[in-house]
Amino acid sequence: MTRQKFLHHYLPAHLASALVAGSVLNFILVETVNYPVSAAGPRTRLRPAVRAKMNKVAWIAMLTVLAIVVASWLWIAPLTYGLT
Amino acid sequence: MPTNQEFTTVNPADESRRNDTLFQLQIIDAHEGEALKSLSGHFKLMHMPTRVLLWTHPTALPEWAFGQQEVNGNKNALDKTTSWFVDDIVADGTGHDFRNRTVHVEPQKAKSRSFIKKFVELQILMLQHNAGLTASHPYASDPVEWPFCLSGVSFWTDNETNQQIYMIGNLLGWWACAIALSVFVGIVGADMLARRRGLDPIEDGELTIFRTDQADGQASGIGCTATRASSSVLGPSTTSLSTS
Repeated sequence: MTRQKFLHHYLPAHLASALVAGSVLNFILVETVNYPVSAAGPRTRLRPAVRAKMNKVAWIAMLTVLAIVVASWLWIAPLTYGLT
Repeated sequence: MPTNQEFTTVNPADESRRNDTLFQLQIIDAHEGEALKSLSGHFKLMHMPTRVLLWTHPTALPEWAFGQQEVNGNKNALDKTTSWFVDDIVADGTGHDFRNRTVHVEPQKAKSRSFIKKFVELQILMLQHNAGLTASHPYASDPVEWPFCLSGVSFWTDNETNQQIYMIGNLLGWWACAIALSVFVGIVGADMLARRRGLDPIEDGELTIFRTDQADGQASGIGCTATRASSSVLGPSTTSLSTS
């Protein structure tokens, strides 16, 4: 049951899978959360907003993953985007 | 299987070859005594002496043949292309008009359908259409290959300059996603298995929030556990709220 692949076949599924990947990394690397995510404005209703509390290992792992993904994108980009 | 047998029309007054003008009407999917309906009633016409079904090409003959329809015979009774339906009822010139059937009738208004019905119909049509696809494609791929980005899409090629745009995902990104998905399944599976055995490797809904907007600047924690207040180990100096 082979199919000719189109962008709309796999892009939404890939985006959902990327969100799951972020959650998994968050689960593995982040022990707890602290901080409001952003500075509260004058009319902000303060809620217990949270931010991931990351230690050094988590930062290194996150940045490594990001660097690998960006480098891989830069490597493949000319082929996919037709840059000469 | 089409035959070389062609069908033509004869003068109705000519009775010399009466047997050759006999056809059997076979209404498809009809029960005994069911009336034939125009448009929705499909039928086959079998020529009695030769047991051959009336059949025609999907397209009309070219202009030099006056755009006529060539009507042949087909021996394969299971062939769906031998099905016919009544599209229009015309007067035969004898003045005999059963139940006034040849008068012009305004077409009925299309019925409106609910969204759910349209949605279901669309899904069925897509399934049927996809199930009928047989043509292969050089860049076709199996669904198993998709999560691992094993093949791309040839978007554009230029044979003269040997240039190509080949759409392929960010490979390492895809593989990271595939690994993360399998880790996710593993974690959830292991956790569910452990819970069946009374273990609790992943704490339930435990959330510790530190506030930094205290006047003395010292962080205090508010914790809430969804299930068990006894197992809650919270922030540095805490008051624990149980919401179980």
